[in-house]
Parts: sequence; structure tokens; C-alpha cells
Amino acid sequence: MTLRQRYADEAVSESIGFIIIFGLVVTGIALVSLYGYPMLLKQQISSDERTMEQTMLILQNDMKLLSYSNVPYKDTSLRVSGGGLNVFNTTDSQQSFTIRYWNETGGYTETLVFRPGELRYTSSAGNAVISLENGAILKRQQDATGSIMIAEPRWFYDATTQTYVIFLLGIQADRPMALSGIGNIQMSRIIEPTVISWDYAVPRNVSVRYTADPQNDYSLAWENYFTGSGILAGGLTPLGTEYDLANISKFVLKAYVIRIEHI
Amino acid sequence: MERLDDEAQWIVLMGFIVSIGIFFLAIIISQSTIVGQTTSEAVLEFPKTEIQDVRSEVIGLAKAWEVTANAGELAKRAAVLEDLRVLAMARKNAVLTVSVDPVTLADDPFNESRITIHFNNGVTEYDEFHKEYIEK
Repeated sequence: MTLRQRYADEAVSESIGFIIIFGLVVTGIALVSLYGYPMLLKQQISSDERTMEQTMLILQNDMKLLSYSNVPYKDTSLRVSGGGLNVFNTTDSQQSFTIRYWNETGGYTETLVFRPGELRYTSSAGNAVISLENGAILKRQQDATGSIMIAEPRWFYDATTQTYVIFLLGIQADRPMALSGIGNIQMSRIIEPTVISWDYAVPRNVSVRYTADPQNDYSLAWENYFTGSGILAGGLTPLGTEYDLANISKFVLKAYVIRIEHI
Repeated sequence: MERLDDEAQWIVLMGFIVSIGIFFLAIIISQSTIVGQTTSEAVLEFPKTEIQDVRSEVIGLAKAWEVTANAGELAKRAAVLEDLRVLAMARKNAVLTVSVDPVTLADDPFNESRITIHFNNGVTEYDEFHKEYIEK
């Protein structure tokens, strides 16, 4: 008698199999719409913010070309998604930079107050705010106090000649302008920069103060820039609310005004 | 009873592998824009032509300047170098200091001109000490 192996498959039912597979599919769909979809939305918001950071970098480069490289006009197309980009004129900006320096011919300390104006992106879905202010790109969260500097302006101190160079970049707009979606921004620099240049017989010190807009506070980002190694190794010395640099033989300050023609 | 058909399992598995592959490619592509941005910025900001211009200008001057010079000539030379400094700050926003120092070499068919260039535009700092030999 031969031993016949029997495969017991009487209990295998196609309808049960179908129910199990169908149940798995429905559970999968439910999980995706419950957890996956909000995650995708969050991803979309953060990718919008990252795109905006890069757009700001492009705009900063354009402004560098307009100011440092003497290009008179620049036209850039850009996409602003998940929020709006606003232009603030120099006179509208609440924040300001106060620079105190020695006037060599007059023999006294002079104070210059500079209002930079601003290009500000405010995320409507998320809570990030990204600004282009005085040649720097700054970012903060609407519900938090801190702020960071994404890209620094080009202030520098040349140790060999003891020269301190400060660049100020103001944004001028004839009327309030805003952009959401695809558009292009036209910027020009027709006005010659205001230049303050002193050769000091005795080394002097120059101090800078940043006064923040209480509604849009970037003081921490600027503090980190002044005290970090962006300008010189070791940074500026904090003296109360001011940031001081001593032993300067030559001081150069250039204030550029960039006009936003249209956005 | 029908035989279980499991031939399509490979197709499903391949689908999984391909989708995971596409996911990783997407991550890499999203990173590449940032890298491209910073690299092009670095290339854009490097003041190659500025330094070359200053260098050729100063060496050209050094070739023209004799070792012996009267007070008027020396003042003129200082004024030219000062103009270079002012121009560099006005047009290129760079701190520039240049010195040209001609020296007579005894028993030599050439005179030596010692040139120092210091260039700093906040992003790039460049220092050079150069000896240019000028035929007597």
C-alpha cells in the first residue's frame, strides 16, 4: 500500500481570503488618510519655507550685484507659495541700526541712524517668517522669541590696515507691494551710495546698535552676528546695547539704497 | 480545487523596490539644488579678475618706475598708489594696500622692484610679495 500524502485544504476559502485582503486594503487607506495626509501637508509647508529661503538667497545675491558689483538694474522671476512676500519701505521699518563713529575734522562723535526697510515673507500655513533686511537673511517663528541669520551681510574688518567696513543696504518702495504666487521682482540702484570714510590719526572706536521692531524681533540673530566671527575673529565687544570695535585706523561706511520698482 | 497563482508576487516586490529607489532619488535631487546654490555663489563671489587687474596694473607701474626718483616723482607715485586704493574701495568695495619699492642690484643686469599687494573684500583676503626684475 502506498502512503499518500494528503494536503488538507478543505478549509481554504476564497471568500475569507478576500475579506482579509480587503480589510488590509481598507486599513491601509485609513492609516494613510489619518497619518499620512497631515504629514504630507506638513512636508509641503516646510518645503515651501525651504523654497522661500532659497528664493531669498537669490534675491540677496541680486542685491549684492546691485550694490557691490555696480549693476544698475535686475529683474528676477520668483515663486512665493504658502504665504506672502511684502515690501517695507525704509521709512516704514520700525527696526534701525545706530552707528556711532568719530568725525575726524569736526572732532566729535557722530551718530547715524539707518532704517533698512525689509522684504518679508510670512508663511500663512506654517508660522515661519523670513526677512531680507540690511543685506542679511533672517528667520524666526511667529510663536517663538528667537531668530537666526541664514545668510550674513558683508561687513568686515581688515586687520592688516585696521580698516572697518560697514555696508548698509536700504530698500525703497514708492508704494506698499506684496506678492503671492508666481511673479517677478524688478530692482534698481540709481542713487549713488552715501559714503562715509575717515582716516583716523589716533585709533578710534566705532559702535553699532540694533533696535528691533517689537512685532518682528531679529535682535538675537543680529547679536549672534555681531558677537560671532562674521566680521572678525572674536567678534565685536558688547557694551550695554551696543557692539563696539576699538583701535580702528580707517572707517568706511557705505549706505546703498535699492529701489523695488515693481513686484 | 484551483492551484494558488503566486506568479505576481515578483511584480509586487519589484514595485516596492522601484518606489523605494525613487524616494531616495527624490531626496538626493532636493539636496542638489542647495549644493548648486552655494557653489555658484562661491564662484560668483571669488574676486579673481579684481585681483588679476590690480596685479597687472601694479606690475606694469613697477616696470615703468626707475630706481632713482626726485621728490616730485615720488609724490606722484604715492598719489597713483593712493588712487588705486580709493578706486578699489569705491568700485570693488575692497580694502587694498600696495607698495612698490625699486632697488638697485649691484653687478647685475637687472634691477629689482619689490611689490606687496594686500587685498581684502570681506570674503577673500589676498596677500602677495612679488619681485619684478627690470632690465637696466
